Amino acid sequence: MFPVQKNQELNEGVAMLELSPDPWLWPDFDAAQIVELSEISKGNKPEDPLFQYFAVKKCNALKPEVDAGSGFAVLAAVRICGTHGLVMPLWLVHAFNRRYDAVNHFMALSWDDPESFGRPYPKGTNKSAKKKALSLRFAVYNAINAIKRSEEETAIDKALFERVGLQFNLGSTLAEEYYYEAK
Amino acid sequence: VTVFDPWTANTSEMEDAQTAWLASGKKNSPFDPASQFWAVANIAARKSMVVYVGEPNEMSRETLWCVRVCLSHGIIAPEWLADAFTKRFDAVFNADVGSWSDPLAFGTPYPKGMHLAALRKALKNGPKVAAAVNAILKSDPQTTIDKGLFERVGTPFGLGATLAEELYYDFRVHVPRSKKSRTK
Repeated sequence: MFPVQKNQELNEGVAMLELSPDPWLWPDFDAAQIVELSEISKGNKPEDPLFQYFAVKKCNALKPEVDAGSGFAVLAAVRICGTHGLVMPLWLVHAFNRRYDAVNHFMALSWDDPESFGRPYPKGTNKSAKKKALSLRFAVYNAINAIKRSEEETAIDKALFERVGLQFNLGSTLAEEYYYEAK
Repeated sequence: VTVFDPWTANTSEMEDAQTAWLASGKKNSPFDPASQFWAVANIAARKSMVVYVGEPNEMSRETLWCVRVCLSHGIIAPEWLADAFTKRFDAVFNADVGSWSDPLAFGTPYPKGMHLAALRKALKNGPKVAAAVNAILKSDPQTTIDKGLFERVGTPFGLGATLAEELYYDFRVHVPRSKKSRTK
């Protein structure tokens, strides 16, 4: 991988590990090591080691989708790397450049072309419904978790989804959908 | 460990880093200090096109260009670029807009009405037309650059005089002419 990362002074503060300045080369850490990583991440900035560690994991989790041809996943991975001050891995470089160059080399006129990043949502997607889902799914998920914590006997069933759905003006089916999407 | 940071380095630091890079046995590459230094200067020059306040401008597409350069040279995106990219990505992710080519996202790459086939034809034939015109001017410096010349050059490529002329002026800088032919 590449030599420059924003957390290059990391080695000075870590007694437990001889960490590479490149977060892409870090091994899996155990709970104690993650606590130590959080202790040297005092700035609470996205490019702090703790956040970079999890950003690398999130980015790597997107690789199968990128490999399967999702342009959305390519841009999502770029967003993660950009936010966390990470140099992007070669698999992402190749995936992004191929899709960018499809437009640059006149193979596609729009970023939505399948040769480029592809249409972000299927044709006919209701944007308002999508927005509603994005804004409510975690609210539904949290509400159900709160009930499960306070009422251990409550089953996750239609009645529960109906009950939670009422709080958000949703039917039980939609509440169930949002819950499992967030989960 | 001293690490070269193209965002903060000055010219002499870049030269030192490049010398050290080559001395260590590495070859010139998009990741070497000199290439990164050049790339950073080009990205920085586009900041005003990428960062917008209020309405997005027609230069939205430059955001992706800057990202491509960062990727290709192994450079960490500066905060202003990461923020701009996030803002534009999130416009789609949050379903505020439904297309990557929306001005709020990455913008239309080409003006409306452009035809891919015409663009590809231009890209394919432009250098050939320029080279053909230059060859004629080199062998006969007295040749007048006029419609007749473009008709003559365009015909073998299946191009009209007007298109051949357009392509010549678009591509001539990429096909150097000899000094002798620069009499017109």
